[in-house]
Amino acid sequence: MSRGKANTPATRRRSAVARALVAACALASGTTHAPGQDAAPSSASQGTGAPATKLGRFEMEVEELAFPSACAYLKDGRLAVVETYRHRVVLFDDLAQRVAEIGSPGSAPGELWFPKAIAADDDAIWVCDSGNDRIQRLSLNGTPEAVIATRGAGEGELCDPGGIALDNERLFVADTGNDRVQVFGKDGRWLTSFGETGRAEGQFNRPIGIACDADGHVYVADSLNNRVQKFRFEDGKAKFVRAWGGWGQFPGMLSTPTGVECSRGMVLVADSRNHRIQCFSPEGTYLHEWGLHIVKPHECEGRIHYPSAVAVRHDGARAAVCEPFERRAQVFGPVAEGTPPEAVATPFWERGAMSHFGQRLSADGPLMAVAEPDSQMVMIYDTRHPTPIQITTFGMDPGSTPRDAPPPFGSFNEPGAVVMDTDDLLVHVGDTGNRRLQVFRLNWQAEQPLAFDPAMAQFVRAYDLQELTARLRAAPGAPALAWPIEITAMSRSKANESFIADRRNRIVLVFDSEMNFLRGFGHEGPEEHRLRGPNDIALSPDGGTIFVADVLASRVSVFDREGKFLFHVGSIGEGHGRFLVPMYVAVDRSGDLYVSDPELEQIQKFRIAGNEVTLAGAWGRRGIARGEFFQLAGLALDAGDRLIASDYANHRLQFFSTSGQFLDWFGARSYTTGLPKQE
Amino acid sequence: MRSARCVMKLMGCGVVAAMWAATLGACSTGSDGTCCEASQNGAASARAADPSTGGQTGTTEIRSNGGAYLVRFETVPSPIPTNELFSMRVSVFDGSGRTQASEEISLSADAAMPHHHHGMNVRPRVSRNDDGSFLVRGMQLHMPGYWEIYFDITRDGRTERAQYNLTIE
Repeated sequence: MSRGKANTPATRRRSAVARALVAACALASGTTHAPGQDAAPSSASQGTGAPATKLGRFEMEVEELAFPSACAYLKDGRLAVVETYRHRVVLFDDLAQRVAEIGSPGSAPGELWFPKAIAADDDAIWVCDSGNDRIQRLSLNGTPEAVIATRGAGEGELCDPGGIALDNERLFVADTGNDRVQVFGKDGRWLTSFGETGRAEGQFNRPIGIACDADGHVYVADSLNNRVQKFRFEDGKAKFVRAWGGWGQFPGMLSTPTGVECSRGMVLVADSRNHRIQCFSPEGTYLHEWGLHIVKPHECEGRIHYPSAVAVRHDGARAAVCEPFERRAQVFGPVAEGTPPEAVATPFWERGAMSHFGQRLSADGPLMAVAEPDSQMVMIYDTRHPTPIQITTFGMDPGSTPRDAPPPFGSFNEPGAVVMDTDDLLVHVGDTGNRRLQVFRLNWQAEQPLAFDPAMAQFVRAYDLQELTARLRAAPGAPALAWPIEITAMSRSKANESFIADRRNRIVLVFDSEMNFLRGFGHEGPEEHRLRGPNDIALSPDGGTIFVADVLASRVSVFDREGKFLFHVGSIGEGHGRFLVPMYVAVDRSGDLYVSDPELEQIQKFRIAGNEVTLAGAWGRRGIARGEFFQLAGLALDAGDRLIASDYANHRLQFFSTSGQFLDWFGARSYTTGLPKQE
Repeated sequence: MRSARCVMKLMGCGVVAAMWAATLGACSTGSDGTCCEASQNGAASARAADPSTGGQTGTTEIRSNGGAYLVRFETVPSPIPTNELFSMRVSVFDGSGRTQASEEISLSADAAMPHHHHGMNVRPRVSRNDDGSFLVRGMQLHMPGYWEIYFDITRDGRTERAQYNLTIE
């Protein structure tokens, strides 16, 4: 099967522009290197020594995968795909037929919990068992053969490992939560580690993908630094060789790269937020790319949407690309000689294009704030109208800042948690990649004429999370944090206390209005009461009850405002009142709790009366029609008691009454074809 | 050299345009009720020549967006020219008087045109003077229109911005 390409004059012009830009991409992409560190490439970087085949012709789709984060080809040609939300690895034959499943949910040897990466040996697979913070070697029939590492920040310990690669003797693990790479022998012995948090050469900011070539080089997809870093590993040490990328959309530039693969002298990169696979030489020279953002909702045929990983078969004739948000993988074959490249599409975040909407949003009174990591912006909407009206955006292009300069305030690198406070007209933003909390004030009045004002948001102040962590650690009675504070989610009380859910530290931290530490909870007490992976947080209207979406525990944990554990809501499963991936929570003015689950694609509503929990409604299913979702994400309630849901992979927001009645949707105009009519 | 035929319009919140005589009244009081130390010498200091150029400048005073600081600055040349380099002498005051830059705080400066989604094409350099003030060199507002000049003051991991809005024609 071949991809359809539009071969119009406009397309050809854009292609010519794109090719011209290739000549400048090395300069624009900020390639840096350490002289003399590249080894002379062997004649057989991988496979039989034949030069790399140019891949990119769509061949087939592997469908119905539950958040496929990564894949690898086995020696016999079968494709192994990690189904993160189903806690297993699935094997497919060359016709994309499911032939075997390995693993089951849990923490015992042979069981997996939110696995995220995989590498294949001759007769076994190595899996990043990320939810258990370890590596497992499993035979191809699922027999556990080795368990390596435990949770932590020390030597040989892992935190949320996101990538794994093998050479003849070693495992290289992208230890994402610790911003480093750890090296183990295949017998499980810890050998060494390299890297630390930062933006300089050899430092990392959420390293995820990792690959080895046959010449002793290790390549790391340094996702929040928007680059690939190359190291030479010899004599038991890693030496920085070069880096390339830089945030941007032009050829050679990267936007949150999460996967990397080496094949026959070529380095392939899953360029996630550019929705494409880019191919480079081992020296970082741009070669070619394939993939364009989907136009029709969830279309396939080679259109790519947030690729997380890429794997190349050993003969170099096929590549598999994982797209977790589309619940699929696509397989690509060789491109015929002379095939013109696809047009480079206008980035969706350019002015005038429709928003992608991030996963997290916050509403208070008439205003709503939505974080959009793809464009590194935060958007503010006036929700007093049937359709929310965007009144300002803020954030700046982070790519223009040299690596030796601090990121400018007012700009973001992966804006995540966002809190709208209409009383003070403050917007708090968790600036994840820059490791800081930024606070903005909106110069807005409710009675002013409706208008878009790009200068409405003023940066007020920022708190460096490293410094905040240091102050907390010095405070008497403060919890012992294994890692610096990371703002996974945030909420604020009417008393201006900030409640921060820190997934990596498995804790909720409470600060006063000056960000002085007050208390922490969720990290101590009986094991059953502790948090495992807090992903979102919401407060009851009076601030007396705290709801925490604990995605790694498949439930919502409830505490009082002092941090005393009260009860859980839900358990793992698919029936009413049960969850598979409870990611986000919201609470309405009656105190009713709403929970979104992107694997079930459902919103469930619970009535809370004291310690009594009653299911009060459930709605949603996977799809594109009204009331249907694709990667359901954040929830918020506006002043009109409308429940707003981020329908993330459908690139829209949906509005419901508190009883689940569909009211309206907003966004999704980046698609050029009509959406299905309401049934 | 382009003649300094530009007009500055004062806009936005938190901006107080003051000549040196007005700074005495415009200065905030500290938490104990005392006025900033520097304001008592404000007349003299504001009339003092900019050490980098020897020329006289006007002084502008603004409060930071979170209210923690008072920032006083003067530009050379003044008014700010269009598409030409200029410098700024910046003093930062908190409730206890002028902060001692080298010991307590750091300052960064920048500017942007939010309606155009871009900043300056240059990167200014900030250095510290012995008296605790800062010298910002290499600012350039390269086109007419609405600009925001940012002073980001950092102490102990907390940064607060003072912002000056202007339109260059």
